[in-house]
Amino acid sequence: MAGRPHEDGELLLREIGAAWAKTQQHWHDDMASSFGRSHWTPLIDESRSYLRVLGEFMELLAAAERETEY
Amino acid sequence: MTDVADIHADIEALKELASALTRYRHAQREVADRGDYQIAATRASLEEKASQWRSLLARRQADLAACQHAAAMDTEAGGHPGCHAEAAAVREAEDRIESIRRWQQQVEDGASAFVGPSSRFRNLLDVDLPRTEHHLLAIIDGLEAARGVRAARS
Repeated sequence: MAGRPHEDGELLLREIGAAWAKTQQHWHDDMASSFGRSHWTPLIDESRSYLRVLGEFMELLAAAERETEY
Repeated sequence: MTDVADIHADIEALKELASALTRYRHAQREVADRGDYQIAATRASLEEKASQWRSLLARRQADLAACQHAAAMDTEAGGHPGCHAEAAAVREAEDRIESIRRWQQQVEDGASAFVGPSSRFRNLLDVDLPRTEHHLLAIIDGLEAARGVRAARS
């Protein structure tokens, strides 16, 4: 990984989402539904929330650097 | 005819998911570390710029004072071109310092707002996600035990 942190994080989020989709092709019993509700959804929601805030903050930091280059 | 691998495809898929989650945990921790590093780097950079401009301001103020002193002496002797350039240079340095100070405050405000989400995400990576991985492994163990299979864990 060599891009901006939040962009790399979003790429990882897409990758883990693809891994979950692949798993769901083979695992779709009640346990899978329970796992999705109790573990998967909170994981994705919290990750997405963090990466959004991180992205906004990284934009602010970039602007601070840019606007103070005299 | 159904292949044995097809029967246990869910187990293999769960193993792959568990591995993917472990990789995700490590990689996202690196992302969080890089984010924190970027905050520290920007703070240091802004402070360095502020320091440079404060030094420049001190020099420019000294230049202005010298100019004004010379002007006072020359006025008695008949005239002085003025210290407009020196005064403008001082004002520029003051403006730059004030601008940097405002950006520093914005960065600190942003950092304060970032603390909560960052802490929750690190807790997710360090506490919740390992639990999820253990839960998945327990599910895998349960499925393997129920079916009487014991494949090598990937």
